[in-house]
Amino acid sequence: MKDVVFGQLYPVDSPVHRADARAKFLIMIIYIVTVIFADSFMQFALIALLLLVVMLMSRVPPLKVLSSLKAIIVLAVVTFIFTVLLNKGNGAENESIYVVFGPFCICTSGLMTGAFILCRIVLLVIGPALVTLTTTPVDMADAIEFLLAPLKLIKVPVHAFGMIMSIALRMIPTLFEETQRIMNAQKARGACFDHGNIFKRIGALVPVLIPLFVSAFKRSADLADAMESRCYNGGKGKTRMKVLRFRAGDIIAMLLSAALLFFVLVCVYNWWNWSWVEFMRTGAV
Amino acid sequence: MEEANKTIISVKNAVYKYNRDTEDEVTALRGVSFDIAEGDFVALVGANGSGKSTLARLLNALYVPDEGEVLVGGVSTDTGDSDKLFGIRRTVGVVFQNPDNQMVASVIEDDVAFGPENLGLPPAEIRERVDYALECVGMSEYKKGTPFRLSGGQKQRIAIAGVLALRPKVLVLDESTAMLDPRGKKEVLDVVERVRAEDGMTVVMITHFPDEAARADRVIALDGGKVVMDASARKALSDVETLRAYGLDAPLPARIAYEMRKRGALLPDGIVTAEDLAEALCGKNI
Repeated sequence: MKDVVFGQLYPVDSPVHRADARAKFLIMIIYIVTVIFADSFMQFALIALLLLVVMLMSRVPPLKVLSSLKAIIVLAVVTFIFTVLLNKGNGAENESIYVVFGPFCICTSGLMTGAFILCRIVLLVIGPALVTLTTTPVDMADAIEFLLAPLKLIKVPVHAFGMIMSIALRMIPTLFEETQRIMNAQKARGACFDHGNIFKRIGALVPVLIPLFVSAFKRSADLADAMESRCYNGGKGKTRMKVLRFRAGDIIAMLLSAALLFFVLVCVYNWWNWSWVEFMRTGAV
Repeated sequence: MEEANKTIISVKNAVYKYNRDTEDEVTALRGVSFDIAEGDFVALVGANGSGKSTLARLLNALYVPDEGEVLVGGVSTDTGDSDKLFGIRRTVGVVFQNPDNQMVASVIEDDVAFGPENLGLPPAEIRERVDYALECVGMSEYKKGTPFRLSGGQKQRIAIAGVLALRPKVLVLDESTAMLDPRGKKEVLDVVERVRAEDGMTVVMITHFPDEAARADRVIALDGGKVVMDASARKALSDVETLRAYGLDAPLPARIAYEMRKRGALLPDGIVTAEDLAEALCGKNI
């Protein structure tokens, strides 16, 4: 099992790794919105180019980044096939329909739309993958807690969420070890986890899950004692050792990503009827 | 014991019951009284179920006694005032048995910072305390690392650092070596010796290992929720018969001396450590 502390982190030193996790998280959100708004291949090309620049800056090997696509390959292929098959064409003159069988057909606009959605999915996966490859889960949890801070105004217990995330990250390897230990103990007494049909296998997990839950509750009681002993009182008046500070680079990167979003919106809506926008709409779907 | 020091913890006739007023009521402590002075090194010994871990939780107000009271620095632990509660927990730091169940963060220095962060100290002071605490337990070079790959002894030293970062006056170790291998035990005990020697820390060590209790100056033995022995470590631990009556073992050298005395050897009283025994044997021709 991969170490949860480092998660997917590719441990090299780079400007992207050093950037503030909160900035990366915000940029990721802006990026996702941008990719969803973008409506032409030319805009995708621009986004992909910028993404490539960030990837090169991060010094994470491109293959490592691309391997994050493995998880969604089935989804992407299925989406592509159905988009192509179910698209009836746009009825234009120059439309060529290649194959027809029953209710399905393969036509130019179908292929275009399919490819477009495929690009969108790939971009949507690679961007966030770059964030997880360059940020530790601990920093991510801190960033999320910080970004949720405005919710304190409507009495959402943001500090508790942060504490829960921190403890969950902390406890995953411990509970994983415990699971292994319990499984071994049950195996030693003749339990069998890898035979029989799916129901038998699920049934075989019950004697693992029950002791696991019991021990998790015991641990949580101990942890509560230890936390209280160390003056925890629900985060009232708590300060932080590590003060998160946005650096100039973080702010510039956030502004640039906001500028990209704005640029894409201009390309999509062309509020001011600028003529060059037509170029960015090349390959619009 | 040294000169009459200021009393820092005072337990007065404390009674504690689990599941009070239900069918499952269990009385863990039945009127326990003792005083601990600043700078004392006390070992609390007792068989399983003697109430010693319950007592540890009374000392820093995790539990409040049902009868009697516990005073820390003159303040009763039975207080709803969170400032007073903070004061008590800053004074008495408790390290528990399982190091895995005491850590809240996945990065060592963040975990050590947890206590001072809760106190609301300024970041620079937290940093200073964390560095000091990690230095104390000799784990400074691991501070950016994670606790998962450490040995049990190292993890427990981190847990001690987490408590030391609160700068307590009293360090309570609730069977903190019970889950460790001999090397881990030694690591933890060495840290305890160091904070005692360097900072004059008051230490209350709860243990069922007689050899560990032998490091203390004073031994308090519990049985069935009552104090059955409260004497200097030398006197208490060399009393093999009494200890045995309460389900406790004396340290091995004390037991050897006891058996030899039974067989007619003329050995002096108060043999607790291997050095004592060696001295007694070599100084005398049997």
